[in-house]
Amino acid sequence: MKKIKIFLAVILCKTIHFLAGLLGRGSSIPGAITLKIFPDILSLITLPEKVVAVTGSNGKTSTVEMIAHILKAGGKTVAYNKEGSNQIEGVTTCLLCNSTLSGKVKSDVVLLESDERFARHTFKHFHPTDYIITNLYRDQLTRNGHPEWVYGVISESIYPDTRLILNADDPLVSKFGYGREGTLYFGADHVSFDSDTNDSIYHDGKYCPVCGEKMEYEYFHYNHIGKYKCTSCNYHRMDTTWSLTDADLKNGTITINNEHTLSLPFSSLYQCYNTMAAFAAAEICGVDANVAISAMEQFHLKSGRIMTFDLKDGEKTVSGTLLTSKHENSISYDQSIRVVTGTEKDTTVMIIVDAVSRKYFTSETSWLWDIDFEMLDSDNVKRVVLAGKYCYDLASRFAFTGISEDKIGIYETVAEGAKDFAASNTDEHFVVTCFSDKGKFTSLENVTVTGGV
Amino acid sequence: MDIKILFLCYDFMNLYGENGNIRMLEKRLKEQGANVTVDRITKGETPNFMEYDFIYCGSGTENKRNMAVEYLKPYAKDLKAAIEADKIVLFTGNAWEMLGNKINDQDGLKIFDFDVIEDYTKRLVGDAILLPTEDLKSKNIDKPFVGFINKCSVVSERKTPMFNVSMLSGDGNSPKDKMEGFVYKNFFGTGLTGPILVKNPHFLKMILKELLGEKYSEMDYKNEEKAYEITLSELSKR
Repeated sequence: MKKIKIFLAVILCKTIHFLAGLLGRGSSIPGAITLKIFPDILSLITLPEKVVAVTGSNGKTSTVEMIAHILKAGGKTVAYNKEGSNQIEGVTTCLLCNSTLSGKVKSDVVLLESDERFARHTFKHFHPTDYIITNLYRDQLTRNGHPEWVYGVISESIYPDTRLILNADDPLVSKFGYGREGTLYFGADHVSFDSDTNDSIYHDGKYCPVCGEKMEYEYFHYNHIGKYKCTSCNYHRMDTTWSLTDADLKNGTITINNEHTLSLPFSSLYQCYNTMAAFAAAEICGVDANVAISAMEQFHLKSGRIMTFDLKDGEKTVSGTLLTSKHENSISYDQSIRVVTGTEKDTTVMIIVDAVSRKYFTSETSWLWDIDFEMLDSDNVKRVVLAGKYCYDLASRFAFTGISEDKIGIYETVAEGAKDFAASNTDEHFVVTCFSDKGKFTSLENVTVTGGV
Repeated sequence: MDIKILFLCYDFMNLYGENGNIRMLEKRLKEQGANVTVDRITKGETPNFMEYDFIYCGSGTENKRNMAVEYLKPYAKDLKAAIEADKIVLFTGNAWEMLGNKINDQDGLKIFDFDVIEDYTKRLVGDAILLPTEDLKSKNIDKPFVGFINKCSVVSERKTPMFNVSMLSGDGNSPKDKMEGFVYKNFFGTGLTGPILVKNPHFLKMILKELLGEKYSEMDYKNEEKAYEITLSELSKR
C-alpha cells in the first residue's frame, strides 16, 4: 500500500510539474496538489545521507545557489529548490521530482531553502541532517512578524536529530545553539574596519536574548552583528569552526580559517556571511576546501544583485549602478548606502519607493525610520533624488539627515525622478531600490541595462 | 518656552521606527521656538514623570514589552499621577496594553481597568484607517488616522476607545468590536505602530497646540501632508 502510494504521488507530482512547466507556471503547484491527495508523502520518501536546510532573513536564496554551485563543482549531485518555492509545496515538488518511482531521492545531497515562517510545517515530516541559520533581521515586519517571533517559529522546526550550523555573530541566531551539544558556528573575527560602537539607528543586540540583561560588544561588524557578551548570564559569542580571519576591502579579498584567500568584491562583512555559510556547507558535505574556494570565486563572477545601466538624457549619457535592496529591511538598505558612500567620487543617488512589496499590498513606511540615511550626508553626495509614490514619506525622513533641502529632489514618478538624476553632473550615479520597484527604472525608454544580473 | 519630552524605553520599545515620533516632535517644537529637552530613559534608570510635558512609549516584541512592564511596575503610581495631572501621554503599538490589569497571567501596570489576552500563534496585521471617536473629537481632531497594526492581542472592552475602525485587515481592540485604542484625559493609547506623528500630521499639530498653547503658530508641513493624503487614498482603494 505504501509503495503504491509513493508511486502514485511521484507520478502525479512529475506529471503536473511537466504540465505546469509547459504553461510556465511556478514550481509550488505540483507539490501543492500532491500534498492535497497525499498529505503525509514527505514522511514516506527516502532521503540521501545529507539533507541540508538553509533559513534566515536575508540571503537564503544566494546562499543556497552558492552551495549548489560548490557541491556540483565538487562532483556531487544535488536536488535543491529554486527561488520562490521555499515553503512545503515547493519542497515537495523538489523532492518528488528528483525521486525514483519508489520514492528514493536520487541526488547525493538534498539542499533546501526554507522560508523561516513555514519551516515548521515542512520539517514536521522529515528532519534535515544539517540546518544552517544565517541571520534574523527586521525584515518585512508587516508580513513576517518581528525577529523574536520568527525565532519562535523557527524553533518549532528544529528537532534533536538535526545538527545546527549557526551564524555566531548574530546573538539571536546563536541562541538556537544555546546549551545544544554538537552545534557548529561560522562567523567573522575582528577585522580592520569593524566599529567599537553600533552607529545604526537601532540596536537589536543591546539586551541579552537569553536573560534580558544588557550585553556588551567588543566590536561590531555592522548593526548588531559582532562580538557580544551578556553582562549578567555570560551568554556570549561562540567560537567558530569556520572563521573569516581577514578581510581586505580595497583588494576585495577575504581569508577563511587563516588558510584560504578568495576574491570577493564586497563593501562590508554583510556579503561575506553567505560565503561563510556556503563554505561550511561544502565541508560538511565532503567537498575539498580548495575546490570549494575556486567554485565560490567563479560563483561571484556571475552573481550579485548589482546592475549597471546607461541613462540617456538628450545628447548626454549617464552611466550608473543600481543596487537592489529590500524594502522593509533596514539592514539591507544600510548596506546599499554604505556602497554609495564608499566611493570617494562625487555621487548622485536616487532612492525609489513606489510599491512597498511586489507580493502584497501595504502602505507601511515606518521602516524608513530604521534606515541610517544620515550616512548620505557626506561631502561627496552632491544630489539626492527621492522618487515613487512614497517620495513624500522619504522626504519627511530625509529632513532629519542633515542634507540640505536644495540638494534633494522629490518626484512622484520614477520617470520625473530620472530626469533630475540624469541632469546631475557627478562622476557616479547610484539607484537604490527594491525588487518590487527596480523594473520601473530599468524599463524607462531612455535606460539600457549594460551589465550585472 | 521650555518643553520636556520623555522617550520611555527608547532602546527596546522602538520596533517599528518609533524613534521618528520623537525626532519629528522635537524638530517641530524647535521650529516653533520652544526650548526642547528630550530625555531617553530605559531599564535601570528612574523616570520622574511629573517633570515632563510629553511622555512617549512605542512598540516592542512581546518579550521586550514584558520587560518594560517589569521595569515600569515600581513607577506605575507615578505614571498614573502624571496622567491624572493632564500630562500628554502617548503609548503606541503594544505599549498601551501594559497599562491594564493583566496581560495573560502577568500583572500589568493596573493604571486602567482592562485585560489583555495574547495568543502568539495569531498575529493580527494590516494597514488601517481609523476614525476618531467622539472622545477624541473633543480634542478638536476629526480627520482619519492612517497606519499599520501588528499585534497578537485582544483587549477587553472599554468605554472610551480612541477610534472607530474603518479599514483594518484584522480587528480593533477585540474581534469585530470595530473600536481601537483608548483615550482618557490627555492619555492616548493606540495599536498603531511606528511614527504615527509623522504619518498623521493633524495629530502632531494637535499635540503641538496642546504643548505650546498660545505660542503655537500654524505651519505647513507639506511633505507629511502629501504623504498622508497619498496613503489615505491608497488605503481607501482597498
